[in-house]
Amino acid sequence: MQSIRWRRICQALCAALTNSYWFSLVSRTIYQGPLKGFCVPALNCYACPLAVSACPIGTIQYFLAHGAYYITLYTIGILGITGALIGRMACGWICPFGLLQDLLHKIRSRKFSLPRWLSCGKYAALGILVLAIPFLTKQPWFCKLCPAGGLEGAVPMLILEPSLRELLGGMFVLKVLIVVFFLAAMVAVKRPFCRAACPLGAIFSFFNRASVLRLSVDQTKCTKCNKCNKVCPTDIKVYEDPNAADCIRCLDCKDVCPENAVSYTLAGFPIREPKEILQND
Amino acid sequence: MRKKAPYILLTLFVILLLCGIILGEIAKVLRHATILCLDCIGIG
Repeated sequence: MQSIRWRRICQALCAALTNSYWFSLVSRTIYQGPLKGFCVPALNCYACPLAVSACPIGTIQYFLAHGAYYITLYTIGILGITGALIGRMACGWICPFGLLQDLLHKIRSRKFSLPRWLSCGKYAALGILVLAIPFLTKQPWFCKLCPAGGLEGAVPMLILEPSLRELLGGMFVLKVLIVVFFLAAMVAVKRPFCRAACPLGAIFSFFNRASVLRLSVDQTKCTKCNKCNKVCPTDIKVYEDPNAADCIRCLDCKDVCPENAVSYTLAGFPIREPKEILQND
Repeated sequence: MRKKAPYILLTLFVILLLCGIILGEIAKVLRHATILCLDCIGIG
């Protein structure tokens, strides 16, 4: 089976598993069981009534604002282990918000490229909205603006619990505008939130060049046909820099390469799919 | 050194994770995550 199909199955399973508290439709409240103590390495708002795990970005901000020593070693440990093992692969295979972006981009419309300089936006989001401002103001400012929270948390909770609607104000209007903006952008641009605004993507991007999983391109086989670049969901130049910071390790480039020039290794061991083994034998 | 970097990082972050667990951070995360995040839903 091609990587794209495995990836869709993995994304759907992860989205379903991390949002499996269907009893919230009856209880009209969020899940409060022990699984909420686990930070899944994906952007999945814990205000979502279906969510059964904690959001790492929300947790980082909470500890910066209220923690005794400001740093959550537990959350940083989970993110660091994930990054050191697979780099930004969690963005491509686990994150439900990434799945949403992939699906919305399939809607037929005029498509646009994201200017490269906008990739710096995710680092600004991390440094300013997730780290500096929560530390200074004791408020989780990224959570206030996060479109994942708006879509997964705000909308369902306000439907389930109408009494919350009386408390809405200007911040909610801003949040809705941000959600609408990103939903529109996701249709027209490949993974705009992942590339330009996601602080979790920024954290994982630091690991792409130093992770156990690594991609490589055999330049002796590569004919620069650009099929890999066209299929790439984050518009990176695969044959120039297969371990670029924006690479979400979707492995679609490996599937489309007619020369089998793209490969990946795990701890230095090449991973070959059954069809490759059969072709070489 | 470059080849060892992922494993050094992995070891470092495993240590951080274990330190966080020993310091009781899971309970703090659980306490925070089981309260409805009003900021997340646009209130406050």
